[in-house]
Amino acid sequence: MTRPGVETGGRGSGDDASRRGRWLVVGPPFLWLGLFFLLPFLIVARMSLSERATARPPYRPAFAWEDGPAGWWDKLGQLSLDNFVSLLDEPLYLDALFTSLRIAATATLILILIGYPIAYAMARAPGRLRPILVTLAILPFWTSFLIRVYAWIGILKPEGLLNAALAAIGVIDEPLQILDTEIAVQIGLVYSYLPFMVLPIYASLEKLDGTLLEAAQDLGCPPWKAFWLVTVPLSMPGVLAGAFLVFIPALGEFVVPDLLGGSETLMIGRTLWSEFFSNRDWPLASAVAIVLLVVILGPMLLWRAVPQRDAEAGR
Amino acid sequence: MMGDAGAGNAAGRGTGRTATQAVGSVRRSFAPWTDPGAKPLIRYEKVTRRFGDVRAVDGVDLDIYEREFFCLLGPSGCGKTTLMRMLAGFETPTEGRILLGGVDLAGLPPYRRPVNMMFQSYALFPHMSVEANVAFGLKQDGVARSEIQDRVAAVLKLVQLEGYGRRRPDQLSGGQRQRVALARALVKRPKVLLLDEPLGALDKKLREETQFELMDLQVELGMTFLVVTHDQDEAMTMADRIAMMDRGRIAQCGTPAEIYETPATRGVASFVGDVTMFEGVVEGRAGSIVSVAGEGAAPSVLVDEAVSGRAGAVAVGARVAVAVRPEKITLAQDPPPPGTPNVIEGEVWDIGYLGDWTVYRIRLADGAIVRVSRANASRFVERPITWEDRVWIHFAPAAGVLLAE
Repeated sequence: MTRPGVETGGRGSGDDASRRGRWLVVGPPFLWLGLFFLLPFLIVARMSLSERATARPPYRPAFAWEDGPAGWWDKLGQLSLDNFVSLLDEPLYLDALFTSLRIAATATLILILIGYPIAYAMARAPGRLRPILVTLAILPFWTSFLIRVYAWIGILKPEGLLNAALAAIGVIDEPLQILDTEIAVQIGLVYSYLPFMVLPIYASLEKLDGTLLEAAQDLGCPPWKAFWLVTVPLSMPGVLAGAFLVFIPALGEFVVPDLLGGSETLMIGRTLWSEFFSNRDWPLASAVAIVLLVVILGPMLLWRAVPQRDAEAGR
Repeated sequence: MMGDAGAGNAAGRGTGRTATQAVGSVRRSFAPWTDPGAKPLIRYEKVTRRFGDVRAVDGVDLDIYEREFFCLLGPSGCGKTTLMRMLAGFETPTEGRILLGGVDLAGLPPYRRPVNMMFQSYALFPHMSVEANVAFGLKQDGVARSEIQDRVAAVLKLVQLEGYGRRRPDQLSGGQRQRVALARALVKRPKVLLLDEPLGALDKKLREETQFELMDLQVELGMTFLVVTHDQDEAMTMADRIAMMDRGRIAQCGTPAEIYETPATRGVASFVGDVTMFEGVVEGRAGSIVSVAGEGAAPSVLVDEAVSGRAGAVAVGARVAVAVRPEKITLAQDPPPPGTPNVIEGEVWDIGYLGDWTVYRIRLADGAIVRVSRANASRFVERPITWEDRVWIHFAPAAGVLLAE
């Protein structure tokens, strides 16, 4: 993680040449972000304030280029937040949002519980084994995400591999209904996002100084306690990074609930998709997208605040 | 070279004649190792530690006494750190045993041993304040909260870090971190304090100051200190006794003066301080004076074997070396009077001016280089010695030490 305040501090006034050089370096990423993030966002934001229409595209833009600045000013007064209001009126959207939050939070928690031991074992493995283990952790990425989630249908369906295996060893008499439930969505999310949780935790555990644990033991602390007092707090940045890497995409996840969740699992990503493509209500779908963005932005800002607090403590 | 350490035990600059008694007079009358009735606090008994085929520590016997400031000295990889880590419990002896206060430590995990260690890297917990770092060990022992507060405050005062309790380790300078590490190890009042290269990360000035602070602290607390270091100045300045280690074995164990004045092996002689070795074959002896004949153009020298207390250790005809310290060799610009022992003619090859000392490298007829050092006691010299001057070096038989091959 970078510590912005520390690195840029103390060289405020550079000469013109170095300033120009800095812009050459910083410029391209800014341009990229502006073109492919800010601009699309503005388009969506405009759409969310527009009215639905039977047209192509299927909405009447709130602002148009031909209006000119005077026209835009005019329209600013007449802006309608109807789309956002209807999100509140219709319980479906709030339900979908809360379900998504719940499912993403649960998946994150399960991922920490599963991912931490895996990362710990990887970090404790002999040095020459570690690169192999890291490769194994990212190996699933070599296959398409869609295909891997699809494969879970074959495992989880009533006549699938899991039920067959359980029946064969006599644990169950009739097949369990796992597919098309929230459990299937959880399984899919945990499976898909595991590397994103394992790798940051591994990175923080791997650089942990082993003599700190020796020091703890030397001061009278048994190894299991040293784990809680030293290893866990020092790997927290990794856990936090993993949690955000997992929670944010899981919140808006579409593929997993669509393939594994059936019709009863309503997540915000699917709602958004169906508003866009089934109902063709682009303005409403855009409003959903904006709300989702704001919901995600909260924890994002929190995440940003953590390394900054660290940096301040380090001053 | 040793700087002028200023402590009483800085190795003597006197003439060779008085070497047996006066040189390196002991700092205080503390020498339990000379008392056969004294019980050692720490006892290593035939301790061996193997890593695969490598014997990191090889059959070490060592007694360390209470209130002693003991240094394990040696080049990196000599096994000194392993020897210390076995006492802390981080390594297990492959053979032999280690006793602390008469109790065998085998099977006792590090967190149950009444010793504390100051790590070379300091190993301060980066997520805890200075106070929390120091209090950590006391908390593990379940000491009452109010007592923890008092003891932490007291030990921070001792290491002159009052007012720094709230800081994080990364807000401290290197010297301050070193003090926190020391405080954290001291606060539990261990029977033995282990210090692994305690001053290694400090710059030279701070290192010298801290050496004396550590010595004062050790006397004040009456604690037993076991220090691992590769720095001979550090060991010479601080230690009551030094064990010089070489390839897993103890090459010599003694007071700094013993180690410097009468090294037991070539390894010790060349690791501690500067030395010139005159190689040769034992030709004969008259009383305690042994004559060593150089081969070819190499000079022949006389050496008093009584100096080392190892008289009669070498037979006539044995290959030996005579080790002479640079400050015990006299440099003359005119031939010394006849009858002066160990006179060798040479040419000034190199001069190194160190401020307090000047080191001359004298080239002999056989091409060998002899180091001679002279104190720059007076500001003006009538006939300065310069490059390519013909000079004569000489030293008393008692100035040299006879080393068997």
